[in-house]
Amino acid sequence: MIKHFWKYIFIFFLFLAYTSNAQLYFFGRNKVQYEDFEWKVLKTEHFNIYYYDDFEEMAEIGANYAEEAYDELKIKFQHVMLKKIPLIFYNTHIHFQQTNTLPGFIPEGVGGFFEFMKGRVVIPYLSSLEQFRHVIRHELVHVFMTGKVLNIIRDHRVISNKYPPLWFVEGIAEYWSYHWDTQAEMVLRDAVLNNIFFPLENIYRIRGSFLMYKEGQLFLQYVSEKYGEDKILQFLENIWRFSKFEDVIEFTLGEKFEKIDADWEFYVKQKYYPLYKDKSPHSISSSKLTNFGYNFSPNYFNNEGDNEIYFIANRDGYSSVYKMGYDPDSTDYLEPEILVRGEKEKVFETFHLTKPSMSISSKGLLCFITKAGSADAIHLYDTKTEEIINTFKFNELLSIQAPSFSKDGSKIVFNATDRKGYIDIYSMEVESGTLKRITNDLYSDIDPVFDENATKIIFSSDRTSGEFKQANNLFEIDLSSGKINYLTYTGANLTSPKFSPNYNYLYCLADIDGNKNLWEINYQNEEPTGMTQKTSFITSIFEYSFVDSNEVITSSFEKFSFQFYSLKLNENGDSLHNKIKFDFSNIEQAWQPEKIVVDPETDKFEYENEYTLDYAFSQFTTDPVFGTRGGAVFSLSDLLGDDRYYMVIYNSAEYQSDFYKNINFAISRVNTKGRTNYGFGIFHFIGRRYDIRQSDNFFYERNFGGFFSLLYPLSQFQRFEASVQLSNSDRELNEDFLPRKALLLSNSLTFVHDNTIWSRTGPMDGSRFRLLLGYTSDIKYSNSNFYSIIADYRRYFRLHNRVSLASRAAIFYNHGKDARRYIAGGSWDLRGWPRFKIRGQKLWLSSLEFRFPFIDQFYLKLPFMGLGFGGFKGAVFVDAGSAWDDKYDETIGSVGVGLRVNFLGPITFRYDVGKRVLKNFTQFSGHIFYHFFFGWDF
Amino acid sequence: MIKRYDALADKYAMYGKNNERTFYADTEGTDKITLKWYESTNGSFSSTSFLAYDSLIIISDLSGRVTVFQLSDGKKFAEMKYSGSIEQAPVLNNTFLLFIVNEEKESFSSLIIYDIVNGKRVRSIKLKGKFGNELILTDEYLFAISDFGIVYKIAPWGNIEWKKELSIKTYSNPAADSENIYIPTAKGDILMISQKDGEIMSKFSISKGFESGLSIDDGNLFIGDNEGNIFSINKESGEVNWKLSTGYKIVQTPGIDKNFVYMGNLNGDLFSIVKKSGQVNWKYESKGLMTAAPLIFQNILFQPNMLKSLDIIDISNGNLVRKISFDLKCRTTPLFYKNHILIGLDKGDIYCYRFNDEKEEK
Repeated sequence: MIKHFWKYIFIFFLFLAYTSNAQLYFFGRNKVQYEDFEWKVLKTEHFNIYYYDDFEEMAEIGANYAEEAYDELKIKFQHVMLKKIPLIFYNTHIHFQQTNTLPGFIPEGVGGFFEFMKGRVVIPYLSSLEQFRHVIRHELVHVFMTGKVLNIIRDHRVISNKYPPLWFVEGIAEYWSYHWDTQAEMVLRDAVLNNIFFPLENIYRIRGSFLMYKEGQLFLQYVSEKYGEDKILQFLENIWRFSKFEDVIEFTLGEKFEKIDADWEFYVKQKYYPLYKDKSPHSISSSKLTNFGYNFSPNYFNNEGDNEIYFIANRDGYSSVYKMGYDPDSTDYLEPEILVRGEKEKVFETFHLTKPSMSISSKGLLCFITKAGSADAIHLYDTKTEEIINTFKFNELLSIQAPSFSKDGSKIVFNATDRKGYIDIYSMEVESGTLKRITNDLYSDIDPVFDENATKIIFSSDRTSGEFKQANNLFEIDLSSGKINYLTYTGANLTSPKFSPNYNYLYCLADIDGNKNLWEINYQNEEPTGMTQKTSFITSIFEYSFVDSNEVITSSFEKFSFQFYSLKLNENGDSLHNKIKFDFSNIEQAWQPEKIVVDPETDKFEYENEYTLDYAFSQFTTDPVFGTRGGAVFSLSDLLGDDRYYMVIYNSAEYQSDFYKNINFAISRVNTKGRTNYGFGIFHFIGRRYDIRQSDNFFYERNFGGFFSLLYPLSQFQRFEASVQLSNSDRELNEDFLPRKALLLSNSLTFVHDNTIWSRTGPMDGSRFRLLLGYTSDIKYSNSNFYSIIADYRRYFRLHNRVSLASRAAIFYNHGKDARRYIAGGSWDLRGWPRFKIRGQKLWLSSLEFRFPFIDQFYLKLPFMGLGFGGFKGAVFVDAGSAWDDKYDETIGSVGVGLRVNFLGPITFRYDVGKRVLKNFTQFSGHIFYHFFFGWDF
Repeated sequence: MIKRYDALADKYAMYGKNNERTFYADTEGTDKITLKWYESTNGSFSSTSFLAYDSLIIISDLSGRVTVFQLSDGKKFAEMKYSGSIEQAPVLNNTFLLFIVNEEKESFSSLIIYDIVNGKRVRSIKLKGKFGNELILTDEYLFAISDFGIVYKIAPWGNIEWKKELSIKTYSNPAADSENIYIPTAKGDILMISQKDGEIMSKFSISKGFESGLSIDDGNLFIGDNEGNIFSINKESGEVNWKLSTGYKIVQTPGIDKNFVYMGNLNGDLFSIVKKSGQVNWKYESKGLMTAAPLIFQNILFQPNMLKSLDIIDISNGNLVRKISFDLKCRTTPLFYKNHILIGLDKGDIYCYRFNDEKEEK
């Protein structure tokens, strides 16, 4: 057993060395390192802060936030960290997505993470200094909590699997890092009032969701109010005592868990049900225009009498630009059409769905933002000709948001993040693409709009000073003088300013009553004196677009979805006469964040690779026949995860005298720092090999050599791979085999394409393609000499949201002297045929599979416990293929049905039932086959 | 466990040596100490301290063990193992060693009465809740107070004389004088409880919350609160004599000598305060975390620091005389016994130092 174990481990690591950056070895999207960062290190009392290029000022501010948080958390947890904490800063989310500290892709919504293995905290600079501070504090709570819990477990010498559940881990991170903000309030209001709230007993059902974070935070706030703040730490102090966290809660609070949970649920209902008294859901006070998908950035356009909405949405897994008719009186939801299909090619790599990223000019020119390679791009789309007419990228601008046309359509104003991390306002000439920077400081200036004559820009900014320091207010910059004036002065956050069509009123979203509602400012006055509330929804409006002076289209959050609503501004209830007066007398001088400025001689330096162990494990067994044998696998990487070493060593000797001769090892290094990833290594491999030509026979082979591989991603979706391997193969004489010596040189060049999106059991939309050309020759003895071609194409047709037709066509072709054979059979290709049964130097395969949802959820209620299962998918399939050496034999295949279910994410169980098809698809075999296996669908 | 019990033998029978918890050794101390031995228990320690009897050191740990070491060479003399955790120092009542085990997987704790002469457990008594606070031992009785404010008065043989549910939470080490027990609460009150019958004699509302231990000296209570204030309070009237703000939460039990109170906060600042007036004598900034009480001599004090050091400070001016560094956090209040200093670190490590100018051991 152990021999096989080590063999597979070896193969795994050898393969890993080649392909670690391709997310799924054979296909997979690419995590592209578009930038070659010059990393630096800033040492403070408790942190080593890693940053790069021009981000130094923000890193110094972040360092101060981190030290502040450390001092606070030390006291809250009554715990100190004995080693410096590595904090890795990225200046935008786009750069953060390139981090190698995590192997997988990082979605848009992830704002930072604490990586447990090396204790690294990785944080991008997002929307403002306030958010930066929040994320730093949030992740440091994780650091302290983990340290505290591990200490408690160790102190008490109890088994080490006691750790709080995720809702508590994230709840405490939010509770001890940030106040209860608008977003939290919105999510909880929506959950409680729409019966999507999950009490503690069922909170596992929203594991990992934003709602779980916020429920956790609010629960701890509730505990603090009712039982005392001391109980929060007590939960951790008592964790050693019980194996179930429910018991810890019960013991710490001194009440039955059921009672605590019921009281908690009652508390949130009592808190939120009264909102119905003077606030309303969007679906009640406005006309719902969409009922499916996630719909953002609505832009109304009167297209020569046709009422249209242009918007960005994700309605099928890919975010795209859509158009739909606008008819609020229609009893049916109008079906939108896709104008620009996104997230399938480099130029539209990612849409920033939840950020404002589209605008339409009075002439029907559409401007939208996508990530396009290393940074965001501005695309101009002509709605008349329905084509992209221009795309602009600016080297200094990484992330772009909130485009808005001037009235005459000649200019676009937007906010963007530069390489320092500054979020500022820019304007661009539509014709020439000439860029002009309007603001240039560390305040976060967002959501700009031109005034009627394009002489001023109104924007939201956290530059507010004085009483309402760092609140987002509206400002106005005079483009001729550059002077910035306050337009509003409140303690709330005012965003998304827009003018009414006649430019008499300025509207904005303000979170004054806990959620973002629409407010109106009379812009005809010399200086605005106040603002008036125009909507009073329970949950927030995210974005809006004017149809006319009295009618707007909103993208609003309700029942955990983002839909469009049509709203008449003056038809709201009488209660909406809330007014706020601005008192500008409390404005003070501009605030400046504190920084930690370290001694450049001793505490600031260039980053050099610091390698530490990622993992190591070993296994030793004693066998009555083969004696004692074993080995070890370990991996090292640098702190930024750019450079990794993989090592495996084991022994395959069957006699003591062979011990030294039978040492197997492989060492490889993979570097993913730059855009071109490379790997190289050496190996020595000896032992008994089964011959795939005749499965019962084996021979001894000693194989040693080295390899070098390159991987160059063209985009997230396509890449080239090249590899060369030189190996000395020495097969020993056996009764069935002649000895063979060879010095094999293998080269290959591969092109890979993959833009699929996946369900929980496998791909369901998009396409994948791999083309490999290779040549292997024995450069010393001429015992082997053959070329290889592999072409594998898979396409997935989405027939409905959860139903798809998967197709595959592949050919594997080796030709020449001593060419290797391919194998097929088994659950992944020719189902119903035993693994290794189909063998040949040439092989073709094709499959067609209809995939559909089978059982969404079923629950077994047993007398002593309940068991729930969900997400079963069904499949109907047909496979065909054949393998041969010199002469084509017959086409074989199989037909059948199957059931798939995902288990905990990485494992998919598959069960297939079917019949083999023989003799060129003219005959079924006599018996039915049953296959149980685990692995993704093709 | 021992052959015979000698009532006249030297001993250190409870946390803080006496129920007033002054942590004061009325002798000259020295920073010239030499490591004599180091050993380990199984689990780590809370901010407690150790016991001593004759030539033995008795140590409880968080893994539910009580281990007895020989002072002379650190050799393990005996070990008792229980399922759970012991968060406070045991007390020694003649031949009985008493300690509370917070039971694993249970919501109760067990008071264990162990006969050190016969080497066997005499009784195990179930007590409701968790016990994180130090025990009080008077001439005759043991007083134990749970985190949920249940006070037990227990006779030497383990009979519960009375039990009082105070409906409070307390995470503070209580203190006692000859008649009453003083219990600080998580809500910032100090309850004066009669040792005789458990009656609440007085309730002093002082602060917004206490988690620090309490010490008594010269008719006054000394305590720090969650907002970082140190109080001197008249123990009879509850009147606040003085209040000093240190800025950060305090969980440590204060140490007291003839003229000064010594108290550190969670920011790592240790204050020497004039006992009578509340004036700051000096402030020592360690940048660490102070949870365990200092051990005070006539000239110096020993302050354990979570930042892996035992700081020896000149009590006249607050200057650091010597810093003894370790690889692990210093957890316990040092025990001074027969010219030896014993300190407990993380992972259950125990270091025993000997005064270099050691005279003949008593």
